[in-house]
Amino acid sequence: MLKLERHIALALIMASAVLLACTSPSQARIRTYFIAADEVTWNDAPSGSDLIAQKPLPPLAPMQLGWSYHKAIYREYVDGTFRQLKSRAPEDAYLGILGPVIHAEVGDTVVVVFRNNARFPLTVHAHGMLYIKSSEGAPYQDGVSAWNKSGDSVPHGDTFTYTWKVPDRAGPGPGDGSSVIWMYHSHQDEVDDVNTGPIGPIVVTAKGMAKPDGSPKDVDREIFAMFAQFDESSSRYFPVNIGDPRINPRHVKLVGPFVTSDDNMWTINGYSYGNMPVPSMRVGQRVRWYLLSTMSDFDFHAPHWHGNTVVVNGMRTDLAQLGPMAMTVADMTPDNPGTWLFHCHVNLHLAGGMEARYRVLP
Amino acid sequence: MKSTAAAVIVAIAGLVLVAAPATARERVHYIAADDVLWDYAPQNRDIISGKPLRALGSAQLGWAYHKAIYREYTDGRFTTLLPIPTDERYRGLAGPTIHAEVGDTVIIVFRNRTKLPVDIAPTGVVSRPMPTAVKPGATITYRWPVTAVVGPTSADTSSIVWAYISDVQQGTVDSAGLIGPLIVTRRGEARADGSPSDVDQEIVTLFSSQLEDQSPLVGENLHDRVINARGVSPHAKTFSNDNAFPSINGYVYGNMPMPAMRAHSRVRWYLLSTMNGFDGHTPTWSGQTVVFQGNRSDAVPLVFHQDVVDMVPDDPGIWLLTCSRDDHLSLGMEARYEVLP
Repeated sequence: MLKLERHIALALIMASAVLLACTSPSQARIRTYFIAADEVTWNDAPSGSDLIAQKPLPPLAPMQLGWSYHKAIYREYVDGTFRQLKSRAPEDAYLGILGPVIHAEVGDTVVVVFRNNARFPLTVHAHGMLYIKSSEGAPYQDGVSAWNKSGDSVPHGDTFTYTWKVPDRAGPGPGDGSSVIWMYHSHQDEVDDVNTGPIGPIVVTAKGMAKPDGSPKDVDREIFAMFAQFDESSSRYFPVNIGDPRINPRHVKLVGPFVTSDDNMWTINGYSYGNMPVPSMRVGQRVRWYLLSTMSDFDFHAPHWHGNTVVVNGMRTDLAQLGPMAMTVADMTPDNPGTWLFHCHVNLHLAGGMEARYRVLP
Repeated sequence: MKSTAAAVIVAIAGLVLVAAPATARERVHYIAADDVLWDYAPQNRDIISGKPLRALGSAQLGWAYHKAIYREYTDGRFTTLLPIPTDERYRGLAGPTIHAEVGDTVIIVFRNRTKLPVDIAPTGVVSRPMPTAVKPGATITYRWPVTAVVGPTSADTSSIVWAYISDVQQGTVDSAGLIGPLIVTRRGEARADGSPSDVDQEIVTLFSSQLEDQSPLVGENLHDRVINARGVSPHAKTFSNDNAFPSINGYVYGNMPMPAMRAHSRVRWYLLSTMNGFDGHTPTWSGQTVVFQGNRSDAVPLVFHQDVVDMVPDDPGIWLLTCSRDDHLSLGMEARYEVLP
């Protein structure tokens, strides 16, 4: 009798524990990222070759400085001393020029401690997040006091902390999957800043659908690809780049008031002609591709996967469509092992090297 | 027994109410194509940066041009403009908003008060008679039957937007400015004025690169000594570029009057676009998010068509509405909107 009672009591406790686990809301977290804008020399084709065609890179255009440019990019540090970079896992090397991936679940708060190590004032401006004016990171006439403008222009060497709430309206809409993609970028001078390089992705997962790290439970592998026409002649570093013989060994000079289109770099995650490290995935994995684009007049792209198909907005395709400042999700369950082409299908962009590869392991 | 009868009567009345089609209405608008002097920057400042406007391009005539736009009048005499409420002044260049519920007929009494042969032609809807060039000074009445095929599908929001334009001569839409919105609401989901009953506020924005070099009024603008005070020549190398205005409702650099909305209200944005080689826009909001085709976003593609996006603002303040294309942004394709607490 006693034994039976104990059993019942145990069962009751277990049942209530299960019930509690099911009904209790997932823990709202504060997710803190230490992100600096660092000056780097960025090479769009570090191998020196066209890795898709296995041949040398095309000859430089008449006004092209080279394949490397001084840029400012977002990089993640382990803490607020900004002494030690957080290392990027080898399988994430393909992220390239993209800033650290910020993950959040609906209900969380994201804190970005931002250090500006670049010589120009820069900011962090987030799409989708809920912020008060001091955390908008964009200076303009918005009728608020000077205190609220402190995040709108972070000078060289300064640190500013941005706080973003992640309410429902930052998460998936009624037609979205379990997670959506946003962008963060510098908005001190929006046009020039984006061409300068500081851009990164934010993933927001629906409440209750996130792993502890904020990524969606129903996805095995997340891949990020930013299609960018970097107009280096609109980068804040362009005068520096022109004057630096390591960047501009041929001493290209600007003729007239018009900037050249020869310094438009056609890139995926900052890489051209297949120089992006090849991301890999396994057959049968649920792979979510997050597609981004930048803001140039030619940033109309048609990302196309060889070998496998994707679902975009509930529709099967192997070709997505991006306009400027696009943020799009494509789900893939690869069934076709091999190394496959992933490129923009616009002729001019493809010819300019907007092509990469991905690998499906058996 | 009595109560049973009453119940039956109530039930029948209920059935009739449910089954009765919404009353099909005839909605009459008196719209003229008018010559106006349009100023892209009437505040004469860059309202976004708080600084003076950028210097004129070397072949730019100025900030104001002769244009032709649609305006609504109170009646067929076309003597009194229908007043635009103060809180809708942001509409600017965009023509009057025409609402209809599926089943309605829109009747347009159209007078061409410009010197150009123009018309008023809806996209989607079949107009009777078919629009053709209306002679300057002439008046024609069109009937636009708003049938189910131009209404929202089950996948659409409760209302969708079409454009009406002047389609008889190249340049009259993109360069003169003859374009306006026709909003069609699903049958049974409209208020008496035709607007959708599940929306608290509608905002119309026209994202357009107005190309003044291709305007049918370019000659008039060039010869007008007030417009072309510097005597710019149309043969200047940069004439096309310097007289292109990627603009929102015909305003640049934040000169659009700010639309205001209340936090937590249901706001529907109708986005219109024109169709020239310098169009292709990404309307982008700071501060709030929107739902576009079921997807959450704050930057939506608008390439030669119309979009409907829904917003429930939750972040009070003054915020940016811009095109995210760098060349458009550089030329001032930016406005502000305000969310009141």
